[in-house]
Amino acid sequence: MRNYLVAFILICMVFSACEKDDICLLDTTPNLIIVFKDKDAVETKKSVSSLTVWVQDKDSIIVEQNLDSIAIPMDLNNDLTRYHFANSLSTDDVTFVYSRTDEFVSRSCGYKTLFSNLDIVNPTNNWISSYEIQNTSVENENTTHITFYH
Amino acid sequence: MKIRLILLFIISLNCSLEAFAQEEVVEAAQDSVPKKQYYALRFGIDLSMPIIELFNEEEKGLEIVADFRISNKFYIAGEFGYEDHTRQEDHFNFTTNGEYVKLGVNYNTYENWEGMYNQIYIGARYGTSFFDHTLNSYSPNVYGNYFEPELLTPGTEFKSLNAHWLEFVAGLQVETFKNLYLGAMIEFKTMLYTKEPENFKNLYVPGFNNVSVNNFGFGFNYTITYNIPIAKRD
Repeated sequence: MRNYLVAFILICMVFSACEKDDICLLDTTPNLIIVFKDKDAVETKKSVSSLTVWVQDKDSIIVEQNLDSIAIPMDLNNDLTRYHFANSLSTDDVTFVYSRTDEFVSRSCGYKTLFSNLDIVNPTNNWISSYEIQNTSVENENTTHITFYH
Repeated sequence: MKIRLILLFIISLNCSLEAFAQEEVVEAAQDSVPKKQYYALRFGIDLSMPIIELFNEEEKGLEIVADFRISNKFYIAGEFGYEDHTRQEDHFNFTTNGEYVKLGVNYNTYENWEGMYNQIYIGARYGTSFFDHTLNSYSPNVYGNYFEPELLTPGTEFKSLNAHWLEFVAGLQVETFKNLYLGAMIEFKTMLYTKEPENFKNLYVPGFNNVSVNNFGFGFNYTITYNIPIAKRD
């Protein structure tokens, strides 16, 4: 009994250097979910042909793809993000404005940024005819936040 | 060969008989001289903390340990200390500082000679700590690198927090010089209750150390203690 106890104590001391016990897999800063719908049949999704999306002075985040919905990151260092959306014919300029709060998640994930009071200012209407904000707060990626009609 | 084995057998038999005889003598001696029993207060410090402090300037702390002998088997034991501990996690850096107290009993499994208080023990503690956190820096966690989050240094303070936990301990106490003991102890902890801060978490608690996902903790100490035999018990 006593010897086992001593051995047990020694082994525990050897292995006392702790391994990380959680790994961050999910639940970080959410992306903005945009769905593209048909301006003539507002309930139906409509793919954009050759969609390219980028922020001024940055590489394109989406390059010439046919998509009816996208998830794009918002600038978590500023209260606005100005995106360019191009289809095969023309380019539209959309500025998203919002407020930011940082919420604690866990030891491994740290903090995530949540966006609220989401709005769009000065959008151009070259191919996107109108928009609708479905959700003014961006807290997860389970719902659509904005719908573009084209 | 055979004769040697037989001889060995006889000698060993003789030895065991002798031992038996000695035991009788000891028992007789115990009968005639009444056994002296002492309470004993032993106190000292955890050596690991000052050593860690030497190598890591971001760690400060002190732990005072004490135990009080109430019988051969049972000791009342406790630890008291403070800690100032900074941790770098993947996405943030924080400092915890506060005091803690632990109180409980040790059960000694080691049979001592008269007047010695060596121990191989298991025990239990109730621990409590009062502490603050400071969020030194963080950068929001975002998937991908299209926008690189800036490092923010808010210095947010989360004050007046507390925690209560149970510990199961096992350790040794060995007399190295007269009345001077070296000890080592390991501690398994399970959290009972914590007052959590708003928009942060008690990831480190003084005395409990790192709080794991399932609210377990682990710790150890290496102690040097001085023993004072106090009162005689008849």
